[in-house]
Amino acid sequence: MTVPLVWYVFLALILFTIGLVVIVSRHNLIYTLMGVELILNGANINFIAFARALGGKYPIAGNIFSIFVIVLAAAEAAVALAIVLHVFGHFGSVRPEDPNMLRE
Amino acid sequence: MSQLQAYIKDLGWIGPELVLAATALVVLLVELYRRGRKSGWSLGLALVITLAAGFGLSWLGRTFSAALGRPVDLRLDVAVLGLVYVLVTMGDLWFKGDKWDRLVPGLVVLAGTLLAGYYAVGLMSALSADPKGTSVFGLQLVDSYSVYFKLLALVSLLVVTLFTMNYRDLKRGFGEYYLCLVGAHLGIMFLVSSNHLLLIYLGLETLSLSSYLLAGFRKEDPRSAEAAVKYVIYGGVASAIMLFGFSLIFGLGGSLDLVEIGRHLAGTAQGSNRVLVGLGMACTLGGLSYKIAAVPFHFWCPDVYEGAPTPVTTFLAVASKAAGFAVIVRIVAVLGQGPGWLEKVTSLMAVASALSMTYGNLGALHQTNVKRLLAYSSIAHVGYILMAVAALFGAATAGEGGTFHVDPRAAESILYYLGAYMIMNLGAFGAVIYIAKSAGSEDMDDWWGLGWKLPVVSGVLVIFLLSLTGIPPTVGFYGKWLLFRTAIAGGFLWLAVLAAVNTVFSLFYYFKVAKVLFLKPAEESRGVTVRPAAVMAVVLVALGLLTLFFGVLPSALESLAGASAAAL
Amino acid sequence: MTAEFLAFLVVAAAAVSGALITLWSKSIVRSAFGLILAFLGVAGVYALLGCAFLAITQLVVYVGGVVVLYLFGVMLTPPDLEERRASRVSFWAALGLVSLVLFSISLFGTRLPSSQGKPMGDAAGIGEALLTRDAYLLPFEIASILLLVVLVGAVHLARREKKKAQENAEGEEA
Repeated sequence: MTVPLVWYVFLALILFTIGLVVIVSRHNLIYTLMGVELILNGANINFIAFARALGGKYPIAGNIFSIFVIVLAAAEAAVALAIVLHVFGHFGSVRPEDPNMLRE
Repeated sequence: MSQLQAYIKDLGWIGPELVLAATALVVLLVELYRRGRKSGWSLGLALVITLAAGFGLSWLGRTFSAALGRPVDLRLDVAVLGLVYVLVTMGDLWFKGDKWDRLVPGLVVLAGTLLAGYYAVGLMSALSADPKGTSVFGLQLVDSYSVYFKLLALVSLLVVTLFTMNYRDLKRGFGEYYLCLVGAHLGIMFLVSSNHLLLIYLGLETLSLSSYLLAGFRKEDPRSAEAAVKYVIYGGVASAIMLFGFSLIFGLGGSLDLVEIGRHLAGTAQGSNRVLVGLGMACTLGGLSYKIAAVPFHFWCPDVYEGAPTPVTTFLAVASKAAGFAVIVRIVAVLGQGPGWLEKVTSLMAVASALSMTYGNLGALHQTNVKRLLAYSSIAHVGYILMAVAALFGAATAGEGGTFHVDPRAAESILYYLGAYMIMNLGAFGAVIYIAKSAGSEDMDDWWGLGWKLPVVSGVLVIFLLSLTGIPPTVGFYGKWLLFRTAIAGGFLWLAVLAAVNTVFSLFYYFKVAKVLFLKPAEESRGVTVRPAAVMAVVLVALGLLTLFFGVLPSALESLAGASAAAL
Repeated sequence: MTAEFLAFLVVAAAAVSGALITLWSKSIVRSAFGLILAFLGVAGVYALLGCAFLAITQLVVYVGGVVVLYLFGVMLTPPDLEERRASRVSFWAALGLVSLVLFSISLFGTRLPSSQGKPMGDAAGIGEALLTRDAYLLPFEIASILLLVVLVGAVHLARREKKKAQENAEGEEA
């Protein structure tokens, strides 16, 4: 007997929730990026698990969607870190509330 | 052989995108050659790439001409190679000096955009017989709806490039800048013609990642860095949430194709998995709302618009927002068609609409920085457009099988207003670039009496502000009238009334700008230190004339929007 | 309790506990290592579902690339000892737990398609689909444009300008 699909979706939902909690609670830009990665991993588990359950042409589609997600996540991490380090050079902080020149 | 011909046919349908991609590469090559003046490495690299590209092109030409049954002429190879070499090195041989550093990549982008636009206009007229279009590469949907948005994106790219060439605050990195700008527009063009979750995600990320980089492009300015970091952090969160929604919709809708998903999800409102489907829909719509800055996903908008370089702000307010709406309309049309889901999706949109317009207008009331004011105003306009998205299904009478269908007149009003919004916002931001450079400040308090010193541009700005308020005879008035008509026809009378009240409020802050410019006599104003190039003024006057032209004769744009909406 | 279910429990526990370490830890370096554990767990899930290629990709890109990138980011910024106290993790975690429980009640009442051992794609199938015209050739090409743009733009932002030298040159010209 194989593991029912619902358990995979449950795991994905747990990762999604933890990722969201990391994003809203931790006051550090790098933590926010880590939370984003957790959410993306949750989504990927969903894609693969559902793809396997759907069968037909979807196993390949799910695999490919996940590979693209991984590629884009890496690109986004690179861009975000470049920007975060750039901001650190200007403001000397990686807390999200510290760059605040744009408020009246 | 037929395989190859099918390729060529498909490539023809995505011609504008191919031209833009080639433009991006040429910008990069030109930049390498220009750097080559100082470093032998860059020159060598550029030479190698040019040779490779020339050989690649001539190989492609040979293969294609063989496939089409034409005789192969080997002299073509040499000719193509020579032509590419001459074109790319020309930039270096003819245009020396720092002034050309700014102009050459811009000129390349202008040329590429015009070519792509010519191509897109051709596609548009080819599609007039059959608006539903065709699907290429199995994933892209080239219909008149997507080509309309591609035209909007190309117009925006053209004008933003012109603005950038006259934007003196950007001092270096022009090649990189234009590469990111063209890349972002490429993302938009793939995004608007996709009906497939993977391509929507990919197009959206291409657009977003390029925009994050563009927002932070003024490296010496901490405000630009702050704008970039706010944009990238919240944008990353929004796109991750959207992707999680996609994964649920994929699983429960049983497909990656939007049309099939819609068919599968239509009956799930009463089923056992309605909670999961609802979560998927909420995540998807929430993540997309970030892109258009609808309340409650708007908080990045004022800061990013203020901090980013003004041409980038123009792009974010116009092309990026239009692309977001293109996807939202497609997705709402799919998700809302099932009974039970219709009320949920449209009431979600209606609430977002009401909040956005009210918040945007209240926020704009006490702004003094003009870019920030326009940011709040753009949030308000998102609210107006969402009003029509909520009424997308018109009077919502169920068709065959109990599913609902999009009201083409509602879609038409959205497309028309996005076109109108583009013209007037391009103009407004361009005028801000012009006046802010002359006054040396983006703050309204430094603009007192400047209208008499810069009469043409200030006058045109007043036209754009009238249009943004929605006063006849401007394009904004007619567009708003269409939106109101759609909302009332769709049963959202309360939204229309709220929008009318909001319009009255918006008069105050739009007229504050006009008052500042013209109320005090010229003698009491600060001096005009710099006068931007005349090209800027010409572009702005042209946009102002368009605003008036489509206000007096709206049928030209309306018939185009109507034909495009028919494809939905 | 079959062997597969047991294996699933192990990898899921690794993923969740890694994520929790990321959330809870005081030191951001430890959080990054928690992230590695979570990614390893997710790679295990992929392997369990029969996606060997994806599992390897996950290991190479996430564990080998992304986390290392984050560690670089962490090392280049000073430690912020006050951060954990300022962030009200317990409050938000409790909120997350409540909503998770509410959602999972309806989740386990959902009728989902069964995942009886259908074959997943192998590397050859994926590669073929990526380069086939009517499958995923176009996304593959779009991704290449995206990566080019990101590469050039990120280098522009991260590159350190020779500020002094330029200012001196400008000063001499003036």
